[in-house]
Amino acid sequence: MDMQVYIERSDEHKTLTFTGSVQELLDLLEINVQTVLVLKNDALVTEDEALTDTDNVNIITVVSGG
Amino acid sequence: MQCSTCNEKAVITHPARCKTCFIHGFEERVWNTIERFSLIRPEERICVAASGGKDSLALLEILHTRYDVHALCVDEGIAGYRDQTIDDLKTFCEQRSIPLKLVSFADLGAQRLDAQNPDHPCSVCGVLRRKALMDYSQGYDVIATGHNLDDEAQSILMNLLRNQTHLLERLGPRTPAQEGIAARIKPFYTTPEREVRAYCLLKGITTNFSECPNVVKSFRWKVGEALNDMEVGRPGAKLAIVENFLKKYYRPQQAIASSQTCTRCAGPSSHELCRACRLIVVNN
Ligand code: SF4
Ligand SMILES: [Zn+2]
Ligand SMILES: [Zn+2]
Repeated sequence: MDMQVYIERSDEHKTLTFTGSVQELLDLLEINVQTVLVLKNDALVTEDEALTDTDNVNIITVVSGG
Repeated sequence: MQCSTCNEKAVITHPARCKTCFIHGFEERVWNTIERFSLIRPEERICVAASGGKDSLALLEILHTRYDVHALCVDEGIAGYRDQTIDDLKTFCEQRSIPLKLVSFADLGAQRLDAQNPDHPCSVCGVLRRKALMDYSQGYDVIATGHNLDDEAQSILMNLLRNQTHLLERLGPRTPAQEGIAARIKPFYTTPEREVRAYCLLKGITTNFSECPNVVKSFRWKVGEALNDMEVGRPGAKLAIVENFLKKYYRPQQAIASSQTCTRCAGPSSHELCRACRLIVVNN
């Protein structure tokens, strides 16, 4: 099974094979942690949270547009 | 990671806080900011400049628990963007019985922003929005805005980068009232933007993500990105910029002197017509 990742700002759905921390996922996607919050299975989590292939990950933007 | 106050599972870092402790700390910081800078004085009538975005909804959510606040929303006329945030705002205010007034650029005698199609939309937008807030906040003593730490650090840097240090005097947590114009206050002055979104999320305040199509064209956007890069390497960079500004430039008592008044609207202006009136006249 693969990890489902949704990136709010670009409205993109990605399917990834990934195991690691939230910070590592953001590094992989080249997203600055300052600009987002990460939800794992609908709950807000910190950057050290471990993610696995069965997780649903939602990367929401914190920068308001206007 | 655990909450550094109660050992529950943390939801946010810098500092590590669980949901309950984060919400509590977030609200405490707002009350402390109001006190530290004497933002709201007894008996003052408060109007919240609200767009329906996360900052203004979070601000209304907090202020309405202690104060009798009204919301004032300016519809700039940006298709596909503002309509959605206004819907969010209407629902939010209805649920909390907060009186809401909506005004548009047309009420000023100007065209919708998207119809004007200006080269620098954000400067036109800012000037007309300020004018609308000024004109429609008569009867209030203070206008509270959702400007957060990120916004303020950006504004300070933008003025420095443009070599417009004389404009720094317009910044700060409280801009004093001028003849006929309410004072402007920023209760989220030391609150990072990221935490505002986290607060909305954890409090169940719905903010649909939507972005003004003009935002990425703005200088502010570039400065904001640079600041976020800086913050990663040097946590606390944004706060350091703002605290230094407060020490060196902020003069809370000093009203901004305007040499003249606009001949069309009688608002403060350094020319015969203020910037807003120049835009309105050119447009017609
Ligand atoms: S991004 Fe610019 S044009 Fe859009 S709402 Fe903000 S100031 Fe106005
Ligand atoms: Zn806690
Ligand atoms: Zn004028």
